[in-house]
Amino acid sequence: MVLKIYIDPVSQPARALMLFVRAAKIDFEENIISIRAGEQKTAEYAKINKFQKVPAIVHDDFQLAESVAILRYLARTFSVDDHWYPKDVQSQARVDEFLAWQHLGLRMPLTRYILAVIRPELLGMTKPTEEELANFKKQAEKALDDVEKLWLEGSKFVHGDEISIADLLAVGEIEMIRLIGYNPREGRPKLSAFLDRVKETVGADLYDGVHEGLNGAVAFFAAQLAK
Amino acid sequence: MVLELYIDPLSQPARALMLFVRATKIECQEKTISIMGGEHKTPEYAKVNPFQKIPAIIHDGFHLAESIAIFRYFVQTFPVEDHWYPQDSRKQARVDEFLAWQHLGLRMPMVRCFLSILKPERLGDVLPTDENIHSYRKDMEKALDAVENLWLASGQFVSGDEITIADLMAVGEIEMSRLVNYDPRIGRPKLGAYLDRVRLTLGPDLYDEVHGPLLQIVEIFKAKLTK
Repeated sequence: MVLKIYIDPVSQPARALMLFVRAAKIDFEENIISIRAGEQKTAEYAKINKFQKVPAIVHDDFQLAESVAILRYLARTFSVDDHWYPKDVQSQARVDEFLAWQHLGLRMPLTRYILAVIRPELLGMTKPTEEELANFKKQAEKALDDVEKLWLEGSKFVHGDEISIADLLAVGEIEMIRLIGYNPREGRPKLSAFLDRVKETVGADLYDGVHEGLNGAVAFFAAQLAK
Repeated sequence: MVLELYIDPLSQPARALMLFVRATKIECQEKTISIMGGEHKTPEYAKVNPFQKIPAIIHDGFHLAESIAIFRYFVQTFPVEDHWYPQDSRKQARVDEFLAWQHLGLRMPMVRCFLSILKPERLGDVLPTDENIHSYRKDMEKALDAVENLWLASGQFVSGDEITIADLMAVGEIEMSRLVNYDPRIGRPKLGAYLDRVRLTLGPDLYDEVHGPLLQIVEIFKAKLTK
């Protein structure tokens, strides 16, 4: 039974998957699909994931797209520690709540702000006005504030006191905004402690390894933005 | 054991849950929170759901937001037929795949198109330009094309050959296009047949009863759109 994962370390949900298979010690074969090179748009990749997005998995002959669907499938297919996706109905519901909320509540506003700064053409814009940029920034900051004030209020992780797959998606999105020189930790002490806590829990080497590509891109864009 | 379901028939995910509890005969008290009346923004409702959105539930003191999380919680808590959310891991993963995709793949473009035409101030501090509105409409059409060409390519329903909770979410969003005087069936034969199939499977009375208030609003907005 072979598990193949298709990722690009620059993709937020792909990083969540990369963290999970490593932290939960699931055997996998990693295949890098370069978004920058447009590999996800090729006919070959369409055979793996008809939505032509990253991440995706093929487990034996079973193809699956969408990081949330994948994380759930892996949590119940492989023997992983319960805290990743608790069997207790109410605890699981809390994780599900974050997994559902994060698409529109976190991923979308953060991604739109990042793209508005570095790749506005992907949003169908030529060059956003100051006003438009301010609007995108405001929505991204609200999302981060929601994590700080609502999700991390009274808990160490986004759903409770143990790390779950929800946290891996959360850090995937939150770390990405550094790409445009925005520091999500500023003014958000709980969020800052949370990022450190996730890194410590999965293991610093593992975390840094998965973030190597992103950290490289952060440095690259910092140089670009400084011009 | 008291289950309170907080809904507004104008909300797509709320309609999905309304269809579900009525089709599966889950006993609950439906409480209407008027979005147009701003009731979801009140401090009282914040006690029900700190995210101040619809739908939400309180089950014996357990609060839960996010329609997908609520659906899963219901399936694990109440006796419902297996086809709604199959126990078989791979079939369940297919349902999860749609449920994850639909946030950004269907809901977001539908809502953004609708708001840009009918309530542009809800999109943020910067009002959409005519170009934006045109491009949002194109995005809505692409989303509906994805349902037609990808999700309905091989099965009777979006996740296979039996109706699941994914279909309740799908129709909730698709029916919304009527609000902007757009007929999603034109040029999409599979989608047209699909909408009829879901209505028939649920029972036309139940389907029409849940969509009643939406249709009333469609008439009101039609007047506004023809100005």
